[in-house]
Amino acid sequence: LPLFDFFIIIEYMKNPIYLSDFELIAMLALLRLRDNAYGVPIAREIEEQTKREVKLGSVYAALERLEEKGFVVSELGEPTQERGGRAKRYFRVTSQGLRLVRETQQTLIKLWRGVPELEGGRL
Amino acid sequence: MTEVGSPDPPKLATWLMEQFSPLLQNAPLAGDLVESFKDGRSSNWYCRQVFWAILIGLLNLFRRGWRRLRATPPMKEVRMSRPKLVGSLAIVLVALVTVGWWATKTFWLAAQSTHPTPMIFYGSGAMEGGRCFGCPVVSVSEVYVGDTQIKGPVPVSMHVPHYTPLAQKNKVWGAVVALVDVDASGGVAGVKLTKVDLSSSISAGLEQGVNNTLLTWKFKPATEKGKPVPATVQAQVNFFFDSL
Repeated sequence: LPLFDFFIIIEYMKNPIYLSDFELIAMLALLRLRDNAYGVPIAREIEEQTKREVKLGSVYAALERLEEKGFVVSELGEPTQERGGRAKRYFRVTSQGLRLVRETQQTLIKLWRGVPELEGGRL
Repeated sequence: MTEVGSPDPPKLATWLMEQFSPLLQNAPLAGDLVESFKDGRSSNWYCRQVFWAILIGLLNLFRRGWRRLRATPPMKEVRMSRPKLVGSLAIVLVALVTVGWWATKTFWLAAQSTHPTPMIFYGSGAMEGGRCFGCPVVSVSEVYVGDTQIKGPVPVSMHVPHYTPLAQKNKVWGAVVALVDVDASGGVAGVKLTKVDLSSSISAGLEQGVNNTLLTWKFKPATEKGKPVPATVQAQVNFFFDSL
């Protein structure tokens, strides 16, 4: 492990804020969906990208955790008949959340570099 | 994918979701499920999602409750003066020692005895088969008052003398015989030891124990022509050991 990456990890460990893999995926889905980020499209986006069935309950649980930490905000839309009179809940990534995603990306890129097994982009 | 285009999602699952939605505050999630179902998801998918939504919602509820509990401001720190602190610690120590002593006496010593409930005999021939491990066997016999034939006092409450740990350790065995004066009310007026026949000169407090215990006995008083009268009873306490 390069010394620099080691210090990055130590620096990161000092920060008590961590993202689980699913939280990171959910935040990336929000960023991809932009203004249309509510339950159904978020779950569909994650399913399409990960090729796994997603539990909507898990998506909401993760997003609520992120909202508590201030990385995501949500607001209710208008209730519609096709949803049984229930409103949509739109999520959006905050600037603080965006910064955290960037930091995570940088850290992961640094960690991926120099690993021969991961060179070339093949699985 | 089954039931594509079905107008309504499964009723039971929807009903469950409606019951839990107010508690879990996940009405938008319920709306998402309905929308997805109308979009072509199967009934199985819907039911599965409802099950997980409720389960995850409940877990989330507990997690939030726990966090709130932990976030409660701590109690104001109370600084205790040194003498007060020492006093409190002493009280706690004394309480612990007392509880420990009581527990040892009650449970540990009781566990040491192979026969926690000694056998009690009354009347002649009571000693047949009266052997018992490390515990006293009590017999009461020859009820009499002078030369008069009367209906003797009948013991109603006979505490058994304690086989002291020291006696157990020295394996003391033998018998202690005593005359017990029973008054007209059935209480014991006096005890006189008439015979102490123990295997060791170290009596380990057995006679004293017999004397004290006999004083606590209660009797149905002796009667002469239907009237209660004082009487004397001879009591014998035998101490046996398994190794005899």
